[in-house]
Amino acid sequence: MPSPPRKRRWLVYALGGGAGHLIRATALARAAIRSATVFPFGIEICLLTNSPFAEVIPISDELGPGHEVIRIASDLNRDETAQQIHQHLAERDFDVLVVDTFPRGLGGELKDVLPRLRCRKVLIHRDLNPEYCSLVDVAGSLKDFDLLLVPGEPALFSSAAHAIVTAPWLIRDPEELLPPAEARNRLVVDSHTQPVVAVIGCGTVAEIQQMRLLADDLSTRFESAAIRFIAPKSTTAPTKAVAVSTWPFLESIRAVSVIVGSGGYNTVNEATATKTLLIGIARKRLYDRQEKRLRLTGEPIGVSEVADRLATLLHNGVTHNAQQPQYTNGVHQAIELIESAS
Amino acid sequence: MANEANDWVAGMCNEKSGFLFSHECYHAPSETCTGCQKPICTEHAHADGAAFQCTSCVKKNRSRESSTRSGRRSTYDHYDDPYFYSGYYFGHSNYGRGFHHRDHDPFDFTEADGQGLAGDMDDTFENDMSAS
Repeated sequence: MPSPPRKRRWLVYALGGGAGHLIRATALARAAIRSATVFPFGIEICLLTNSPFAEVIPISDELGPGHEVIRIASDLNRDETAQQIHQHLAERDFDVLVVDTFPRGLGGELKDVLPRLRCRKVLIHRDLNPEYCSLVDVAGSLKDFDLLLVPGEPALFSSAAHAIVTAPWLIRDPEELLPPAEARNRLVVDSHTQPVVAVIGCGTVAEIQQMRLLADDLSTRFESAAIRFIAPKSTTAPTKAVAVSTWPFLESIRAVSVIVGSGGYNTVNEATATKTLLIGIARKRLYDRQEKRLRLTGEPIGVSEVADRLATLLHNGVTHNAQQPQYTNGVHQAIELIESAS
Repeated sequence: MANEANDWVAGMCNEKSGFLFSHECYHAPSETCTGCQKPICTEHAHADGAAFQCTSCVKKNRSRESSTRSGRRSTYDHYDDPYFYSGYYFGHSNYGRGFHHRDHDPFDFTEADGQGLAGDMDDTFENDMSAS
């Protein structure tokens, strides 16, 4: 008697600091799980992360039951991390390996493993620091992948023969965003007309603290606006600005007039997709190029310039678009591409 | 061509020459460069008789002079000043001399310099598990 058909198994490698890799990979995994049309027997996800944000972002809730999130401690060194990665890869049977951003693995630990894996291998090709690519043989590892998915931004190897560019990948589809009134309610804003400024607490611990202080400062300066400090986890430190613990922020974005955030992938693409004003601060990263990303849509500024920029925006008047944003979430095309040739 | 005096930012040294990389100098100005009128601090002020010139102007003048003469350097040149090592500051001997012989600009090794020293990141690539 033939064995019953089993679910397709995806192992999603989303190592990297900050929340960006984790959120992008979760967006893909979440959509894959919900996609009944692509693979009729379903997809089972195992997501690997070493992001400290994995402790505060409810990834398991996003994926639901029957899926696995492996949280590797963020304070392990390269060899310890590599050992754990190798162990997880060896212990699991999977049909598809999806690697976010780092073709060789964050610590180079995938370089020798990839050629031996007999599964479909897909790279999420976010942009990378060219210096890294020139010093380390990143290009050489691209041949180990069956498919490169470029999630909506210019990237170094997007012209490779096996690269396909999709729309940006977002954690929510347009119809999943809260209507403005509900979004304001979630952000603890009573007024239906007051401009809402969302200061995003993300990145390193120091950056989050800096943004919290910035939110406090803006709250003092701009009493006509509702300044909200947004972070996945509530802060215990006293704040003048109202601190809101919510994730994903994108769900509440229809309440927001201006975002003050970094130049990270998710922040920039969420603002762009929903046509929300963004005051972007380019943070220094080892592999990502936030300044380059921000320059695609505007002018990155320093923290000390935020207040002046915000004053200008508020003075000119910020508008509220009552219409639901219309954007294409690239995760759906990505899922079809991943499975179409599997 | 010299900048108009009102192009310079008041209240701070406007010289950006650094030992390794150009960067802002936040010292209080003590002199005005006779070449370009920029406010400069004592670190970036180079005596020219009774007047002072900024590092950039001295460099320009030196460059003009060297293009019109040959032979050994004058003992009055500024070659012992680490600000004038540009062009060969990665040379081991000069780097050592400059660093040890002079109590130079405390702002020389700034974060901006660190970013400019991109080669130093070689050791960090694939070693920092918190990077993104």
